Amino acid sequence: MIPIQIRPDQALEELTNFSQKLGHGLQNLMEVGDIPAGVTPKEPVYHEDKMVLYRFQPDTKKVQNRIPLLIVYALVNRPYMTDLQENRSTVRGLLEAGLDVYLIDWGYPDRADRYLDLDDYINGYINRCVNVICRRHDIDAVNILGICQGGTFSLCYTAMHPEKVSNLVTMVTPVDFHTPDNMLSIWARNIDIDLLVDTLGNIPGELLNWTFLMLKPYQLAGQKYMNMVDLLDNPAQLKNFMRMEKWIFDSPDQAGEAYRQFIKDFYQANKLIKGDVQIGDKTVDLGNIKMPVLNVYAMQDHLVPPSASQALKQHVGTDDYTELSFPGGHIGIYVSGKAQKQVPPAIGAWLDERS
Amino acid sequence: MTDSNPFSSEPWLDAQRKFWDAWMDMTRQASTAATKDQAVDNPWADGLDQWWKAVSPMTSGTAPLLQDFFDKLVGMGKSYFSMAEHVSATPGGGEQTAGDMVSDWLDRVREACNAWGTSLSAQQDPHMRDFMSFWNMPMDTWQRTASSFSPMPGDFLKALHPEGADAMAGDMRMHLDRFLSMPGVGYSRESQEQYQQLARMVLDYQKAMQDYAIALSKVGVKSTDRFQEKLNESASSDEPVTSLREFYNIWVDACEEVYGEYAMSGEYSEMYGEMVNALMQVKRHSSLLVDEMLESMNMPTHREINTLHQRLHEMRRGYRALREEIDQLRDETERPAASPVASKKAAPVKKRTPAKKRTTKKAAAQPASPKKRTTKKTTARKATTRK
Repeated sequence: MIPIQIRPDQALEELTNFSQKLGHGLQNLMEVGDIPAGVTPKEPVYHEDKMVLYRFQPDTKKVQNRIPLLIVYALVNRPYMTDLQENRSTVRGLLEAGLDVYLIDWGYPDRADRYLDLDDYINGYINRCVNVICRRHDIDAVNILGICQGGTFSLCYTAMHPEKVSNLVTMVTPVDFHTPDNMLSIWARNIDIDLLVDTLGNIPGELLNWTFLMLKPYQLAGQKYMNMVDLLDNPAQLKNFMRMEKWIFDSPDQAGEAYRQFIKDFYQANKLIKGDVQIGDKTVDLGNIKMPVLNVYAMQDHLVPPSASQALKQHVGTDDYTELSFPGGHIGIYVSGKAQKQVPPAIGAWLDERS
Repeated sequence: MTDSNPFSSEPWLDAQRKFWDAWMDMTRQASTAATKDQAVDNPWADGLDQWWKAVSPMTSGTAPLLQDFFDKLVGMGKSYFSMAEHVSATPGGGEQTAGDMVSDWLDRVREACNAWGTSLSAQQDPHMRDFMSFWNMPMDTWQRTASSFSPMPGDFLKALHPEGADAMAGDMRMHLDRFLSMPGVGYSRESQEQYQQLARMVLDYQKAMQDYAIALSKVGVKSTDRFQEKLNESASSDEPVTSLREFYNIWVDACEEVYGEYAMSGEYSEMYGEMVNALMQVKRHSSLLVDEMLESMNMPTHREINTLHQRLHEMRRGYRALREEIDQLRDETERPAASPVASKKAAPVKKRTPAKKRTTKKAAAQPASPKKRTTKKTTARKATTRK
């Protein structure tokens, strides 16, 4: 059988349609207007340097879990991914599950922040945010939801300050950085991180964007835009796409010293699971994590392979460890319709059972 | 119906249709075989380019994100059109089957990939120019990224082509290295040596980038084989490719598969590391030279500012530690002597059944019991700030 059966007139029609969509799409694109992200009302309750701690307006109609949930997001990209738009908001789902939600926004570090290291971020900023929440609610410990790199930070924080965490939820969080399917880790091994940080100071967001695009260059820098042409005549879908596009390329620079330690100790030396990570004057021992742990990961995650997250089970000291797998990718776990229906309610229910 | 869209592509679409009809007639008759040189390079892709040049000034007031986005759409569109033109009707005339056309197209992709691997600008075949921008994506993205934190524009090495990249291989490179290693003499010898060192670093970076490009070009060639395999699978499963988009998607899948396999290899990791490290050497040495220049003009240098940032950071750390100690002491002194410990157990909540999950109960270990604080504080205080 002939593998290609494209008639010339059919090909012409395809190209013509494509061109027409492109032409009409430009007009829609011009009219797309502002692209707001971060839709749920929130108030700043504490800020320090460029970091802001927000509290989302709780859903007062729900039975409230009185232990607040602190979301610790990654330094890479912006945390509004968790509250992207009305119908794609993990935060909203958590509020609807009866949780009182706080979130750390790390802001955009500049050259003056170059010497911030993991001790500053974890034993400094996160710890002070936890203190603020504890004082506001007159409690001794909070629930923490750590996302991606923020999940790794949350594990370190919890291991070093176990008395301040009631329950820990990690989402798409790398734990074992040397699983054979971890492309980022393989790439990081031959980079001279000291040279990189000593040269650049802070690590430019553009460099991170390039790295993430290179994971799947032909899909992420090519095919995605071809598929988008089909949606250009739909203003609502166009706006959704542009909102996601804005988020993808909204990459803050990384504070140099924190980046140096994170890549060298975690990605290159895989010290977290060996119990060798030293942050400030404390050693991170995952065995100290004895409170309940819920580990949520995405089955098709190309940034943090499931195996990198699942490793947590072997290293935490808790006897109450739960895994929740989601059939989707690293981003889909926050924004897909299916994830919205499954993940936040599951987190809410799991926390309620343990509060 | 009149199209009121100011960005309408109808006029050039009409022109393209006419071209296409004429072209189809010509290939059907096959009376006079068109040669590659006689054929218009990429009429649809060129047409799209012309249209975008005409309408893009009208978008100048829009956000950079939107402009960049549409640039990407048009770029991908050109690549797609170029592929479609080649697959649907490969120049050369005669009675060609679809299979012949695809084979011919794949041969030309292979040739272009090989050519691209031996020079950094691979524009030898004008027919493949727009399509190869697809394969250029990783290098193009890297060059744009590199230019954002490099003293030189990302594509500055292209200016050396062909005398640069091609000639660098072999003896020429060796002679340059030897020339750049000559010891400096006289009053300005240190400065001379520093610039020689910078030139050597630039050459190293150029070589690393070229090695990376060559590796990607090999991946490109391999992708054509994988693509052919996928087409054969379609044929054997009686599911022929019936649309250009389907054809394009299979091509992307093949490229992504081959690239993904190579990107997981140690060889790729080393090559990628060498390219990044080589650029950092250039950038670092350039910064040193700039610092020396600034110093000679009695202006603050990058090195000095770094030192200030570091000292300030250490002072702030010390300040925070003191502040926390004071807070702790204040808490202890203000604590009532026999204050009862407040109950801080969370209010009971309605139990709900969690979604599908797996719970593992481990042996004996107990959850950590949070230490109770003894100071009673009011809830929901107003925003606090610590600078």
